[in-house]
Amino acid sequence: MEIKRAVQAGTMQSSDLMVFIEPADELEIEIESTVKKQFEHLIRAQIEAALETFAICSGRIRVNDRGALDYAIAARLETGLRRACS
Amino acid sequence: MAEFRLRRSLLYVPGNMPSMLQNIPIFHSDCIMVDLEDAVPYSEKDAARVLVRQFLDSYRDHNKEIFVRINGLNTAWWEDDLRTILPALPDGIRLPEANGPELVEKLDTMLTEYEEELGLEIGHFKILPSIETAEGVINCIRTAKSSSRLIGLAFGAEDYTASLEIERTKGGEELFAARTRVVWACKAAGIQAIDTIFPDASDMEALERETRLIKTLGFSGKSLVNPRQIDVVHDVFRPKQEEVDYAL
Repeated sequence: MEIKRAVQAGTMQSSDLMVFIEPADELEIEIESTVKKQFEHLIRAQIEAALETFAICSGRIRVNDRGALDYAIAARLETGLRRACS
Repeated sequence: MAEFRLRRSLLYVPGNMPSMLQNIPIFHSDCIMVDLEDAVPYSEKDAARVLVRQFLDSYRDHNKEIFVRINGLNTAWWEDDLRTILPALPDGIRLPEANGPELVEKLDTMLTEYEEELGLEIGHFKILPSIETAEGVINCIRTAKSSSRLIGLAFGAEDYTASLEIERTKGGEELFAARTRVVWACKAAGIQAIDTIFPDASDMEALERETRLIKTLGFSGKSLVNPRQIDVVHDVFRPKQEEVDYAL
């Protein structure tokens, strides 16, 4: 699939995250998190898994995490990618 | 008679708030109603149903009954709600604005189709219709017998009073006739009567008075908007020692 437009998903509330997605020529992933030091690698792995599920090779993915659990990260990425590709 | 299950407290949890969803395992209500309807703004309907599905997928061995309140059958969202959340296996669906039996029958048919598609036993998904308009109250006696999936009827006073163009009061005198009719319908159909929310989460004395009233009228439990209300409702529905002694 292809990222066609700039979108966002999620909130800045505690236990949630904001996902910002926009078209780009290459794949760029940027992660900000209140627990970045401990969990950046796991958040990155979830982003990469979501991109693989949606077969996306390019685009700018920016995540601002407020301590979200795995299910919430997966959900916000899925919503953002669905919105961006629709 | 439907299989009995204790449903004193049915706690609403907004479907688009991870901070509330992930506390569901520790809330000690008898039932949770994850809300995709009123608690979710129009622009976030897609996000909420994905969030709820991901949450329920991570909580398959849930330690309490989980219903999902979908959007009404007169909206553009309810079919997407079902398509997204049923594979995550909630116990049932709370149907808003169940104004007549035909709406329950329509949902029943859809649930049967999903059960066949998902390889589930027919009847796996239960239905709890909300009776929350004047028309719904008038038709609730037929609605209560409209599907074998029904575990009860849930009275909704906020929309009911709006449909009557009256204000809801803390005393609840304006709700007496509707509450009584909902209880009649449920008792005649052998299902549970669930009372409306009490919206003021800071007034525990009024909540206790209202809960005592609805227990007296014949309700089995109450919808709740705040986890702090759970203990008050459980205390009212807890049998007194003399009642236990009499039963034994």
